[in-house]
Amino acid sequence: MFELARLKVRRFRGFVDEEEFVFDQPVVLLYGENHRGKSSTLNALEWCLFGDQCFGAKTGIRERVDWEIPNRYVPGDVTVTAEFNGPDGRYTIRRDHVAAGRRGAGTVTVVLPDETKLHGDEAQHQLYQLFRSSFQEFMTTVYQHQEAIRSILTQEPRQRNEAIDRLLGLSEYRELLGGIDKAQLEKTEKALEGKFENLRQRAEQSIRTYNNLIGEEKSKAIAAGIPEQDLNQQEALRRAKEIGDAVERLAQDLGLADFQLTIPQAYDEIAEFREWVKTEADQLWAKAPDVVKQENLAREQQDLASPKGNYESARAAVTKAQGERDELVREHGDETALITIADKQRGKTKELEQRIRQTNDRANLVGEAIQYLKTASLGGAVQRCPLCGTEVPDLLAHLESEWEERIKKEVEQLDDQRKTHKSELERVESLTKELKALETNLDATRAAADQSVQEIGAALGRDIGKEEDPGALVNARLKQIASELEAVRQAIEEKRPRIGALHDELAQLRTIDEIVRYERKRAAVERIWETTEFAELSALRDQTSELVEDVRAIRDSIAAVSREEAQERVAAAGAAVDGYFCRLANHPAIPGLLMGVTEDTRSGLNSYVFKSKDGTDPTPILSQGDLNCLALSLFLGLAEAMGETQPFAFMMLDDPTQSLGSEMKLQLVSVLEGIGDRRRLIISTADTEFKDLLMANITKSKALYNFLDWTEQGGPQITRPS
Amino acid sequence: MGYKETVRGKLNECEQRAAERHALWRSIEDSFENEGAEGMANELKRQMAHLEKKFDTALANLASML
Repeated sequence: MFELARLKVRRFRGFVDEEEFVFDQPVVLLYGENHRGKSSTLNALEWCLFGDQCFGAKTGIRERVDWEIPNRYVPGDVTVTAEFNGPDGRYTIRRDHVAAGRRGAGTVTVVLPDETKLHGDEAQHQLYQLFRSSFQEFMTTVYQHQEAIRSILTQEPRQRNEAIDRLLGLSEYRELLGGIDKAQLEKTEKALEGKFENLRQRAEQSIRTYNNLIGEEKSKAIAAGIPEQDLNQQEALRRAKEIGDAVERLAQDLGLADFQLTIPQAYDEIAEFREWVKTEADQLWAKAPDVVKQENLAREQQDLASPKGNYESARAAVTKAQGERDELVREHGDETALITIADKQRGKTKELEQRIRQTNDRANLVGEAIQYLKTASLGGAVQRCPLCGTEVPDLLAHLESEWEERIKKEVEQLDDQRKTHKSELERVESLTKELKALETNLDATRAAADQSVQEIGAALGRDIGKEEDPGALVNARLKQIASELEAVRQAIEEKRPRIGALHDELAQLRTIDEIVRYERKRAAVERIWETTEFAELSALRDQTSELVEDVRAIRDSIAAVSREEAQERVAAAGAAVDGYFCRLANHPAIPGLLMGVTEDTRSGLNSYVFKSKDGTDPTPILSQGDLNCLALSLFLGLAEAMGETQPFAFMMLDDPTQSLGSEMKLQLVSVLEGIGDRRRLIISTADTEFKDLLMANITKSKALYNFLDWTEQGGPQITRPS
Repeated sequence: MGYKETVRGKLNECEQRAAERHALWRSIEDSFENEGAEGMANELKRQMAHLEKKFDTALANLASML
């Protein structure tokens, strides 16, 4: 067996500078608060021995999934060195990890007692030869992980079963089964089956659809007078030839000698032939002389309609403008008469304006004379009339007032006359303006009429003389066109039944063609299951099923060996587990613990069953402390079951008292005292009570490493009191 | 004996499609060893996806005949 003598750790996880641990006493305690580096010390030994086997998802330990080997705060090469005392001397194992990369197996070196140094694969092989132990075995019988206890402290059966699988070293099987389930192959197979079924249903639906279409087309065919026995490819070809012949005859009758036609020789040519004939027949018809003449006449008829309308509108406009002008002349005279009247009114107005000015001048003169008399001695209160000599009071004031009244009246009469003449002048000038506008309008309508005559001439293709009536000429031509159109129409009507018959024949051919095509498509769908494509699909279905079946068989094998191994280990360790559990838990209601393994029918995973020796189910009464005891019992039981085959002469316990009460801790110390007779113990704990119990009750000599502090830059601060 | 050998031994108990199942188990153990359960699930999915792709192609060919 191999005893651990010394461990040196540098840059591993939280470690910075090299720390050395000497395991020179039967019991070595790593004591300190959480996050001080105790577990990392134990993990360092594990990594040194097993490299990348001890981290990642495959370990079944969630905390190990994203495990980082190098110190994340102080980069540098990682080195862990473990010295073991073996049967034939000292073995030194060193694992290095270069700074690049956060994870990795590192490189291992083994120094044998004779100082031989082995590296790489050779060293790895030597490790296996020395210890013949896997990481799983180490984890279940040498190193009790704190996570193993933590995960069993659950009442949820699935998680507890998973935790016990881990304690028994069966995590890999569980991981494998989980991975297979995660692939969800059966779900994919089911989806593929769904797609296949969908194809089958679509094919059936397709056949039903073609049946309906064929039924509808047959009904149409029978209604169109096509006998049912004619609904086949041969009849379609025969009818196609008849149609081709009819088209050729029609072309000849229409005078189109250069027409050429290809009669289909195979059924597959019929669809194209039908389209071709349909297009060509329409083009033949369009090229027929009567049809061309009909189109030309219709176009000329349409071309004449517009000039004729324009001409008639222009003539009506001239008549209207002429009438309006003539009426004004009749009522008020022509332009010359209106000018004469205006001149007369203008003269009268001027004359009256002259007379008003003269009257005003005289009034001013008399006014000035009166003012003079007022100032030249006639200004007294009593004045004498110069004509009769009679004395008159205020004579001059009286004369002035009377004169002003008279002049005012005279001027007003003259102004009234002037206004009358001026008003008349304005009326006449307005009429003159109106007359000019009517005459301008009349000229414009006449010009438009002349333009419409030219348009008619252009439409008729000839000049129209002044002696001719354009309207009558247009009407004569339109009458002639109508007569010619009627003649052409009759000629066309005689040929139209032939083109109509051709279209009818084509419609019947189309119906037969559609039926035959639908029948061929239906037959193709009905034969789909006989195609190579379907054979390929079937083969792929088989391959898919085989893959699923093979994976299922592998899954069943994994589950079976997992269960068999579980049963073997439980059987081997059962008595020891029971013994340890009874001692640790000391449960008054559980006289003994029997453990069994069954298959979880739903998941196929291992399911662990516990029974009390009195036949009752202890599970409902197991406390957290009891579950902690159970986890420790399983570990200690499995370790004991290894017996002398165990290569390691030491046991590592990490935080074993997570949920234990004081009594249970004391029991654990008692158990460890016994184990200490056979194996050296390395115990990590943050539990002061447990540490004190160990220090006080373990009779073997002990070494204590105190993990005092931890900093990013300095790593763990560790002391070993002497 | 590790889990690989144990499962292989179990598979030997069944003669049906033995060669195929051993080959499949090798691909499972390799992917599990290198990439864990997730990688192993992906390997199985990849194998299934390979068949699924061919299946879909064949299915599309048949669908075009409808």
